[in-house]
Amino acid sequence: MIIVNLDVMLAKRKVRSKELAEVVGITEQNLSILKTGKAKAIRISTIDAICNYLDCQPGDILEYRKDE
Amino acid sequence: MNKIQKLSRFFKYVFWVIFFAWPICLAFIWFADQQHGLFAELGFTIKTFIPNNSLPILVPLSLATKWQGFLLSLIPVGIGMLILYFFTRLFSCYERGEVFAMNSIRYIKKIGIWMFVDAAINPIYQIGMSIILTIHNPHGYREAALGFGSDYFRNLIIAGLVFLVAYIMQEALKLHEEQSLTV
Repeated sequence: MIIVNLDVMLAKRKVRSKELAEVVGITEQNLSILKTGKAKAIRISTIDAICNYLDCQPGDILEYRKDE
Repeated sequence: MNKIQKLSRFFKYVFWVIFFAWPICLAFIWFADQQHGLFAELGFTIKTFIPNNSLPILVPLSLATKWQGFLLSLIPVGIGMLILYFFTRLFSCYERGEVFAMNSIRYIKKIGIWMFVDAAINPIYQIGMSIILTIHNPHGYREAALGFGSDYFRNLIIAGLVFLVAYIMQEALKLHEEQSLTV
């Protein structure tokens, strides 16, 4: 399963969710869906915008863990 | 309470009333005295309520025959009651505001499936009923009747269409949920 570590990166960069949502161009609700792992799909453009703003790699935000 | 809720609650109760009244009416049809009382006043006989009302019922039906007919009638009536139950559940969903929800769509699918079953077993019911009602007739007047009229195919098609519409709604809802969860 894919784990979303966006909270960790937001804390490291000291960025608020609201600020990131505005910059990326998605609603806070959608950002919350992403953070809580409820998202079914994520656009490349969204990952691109997040990584650009937080100055990180996609692997810093998305992690794969094998289902037990 | 909005219009949908009011209408849904009203029809939910209507379906519950029919659900309980139907088997009682069925028992009345089979076991009531057809020579006197309400039946005779209205000019009804058992033939009024069976699919093939041209069957020659030449001897009065014994109690055993009535029980057989009643029990066989319980099959399509039972399916009808199940369909009514699903309708009550469906309208309960509507009452709670779950109109385009997976729950309500599942009930519509179930209604379509059982409508199809009801239509499909109708020929078996017809044959069984014709045998039960004519088995005690004199020789030469006993029948095992089966008919495939336009009603049969119409009911099958309608049931299939109900199922198809529900299936499409279900797939559309899955797509919508996936899109709404695409960030």
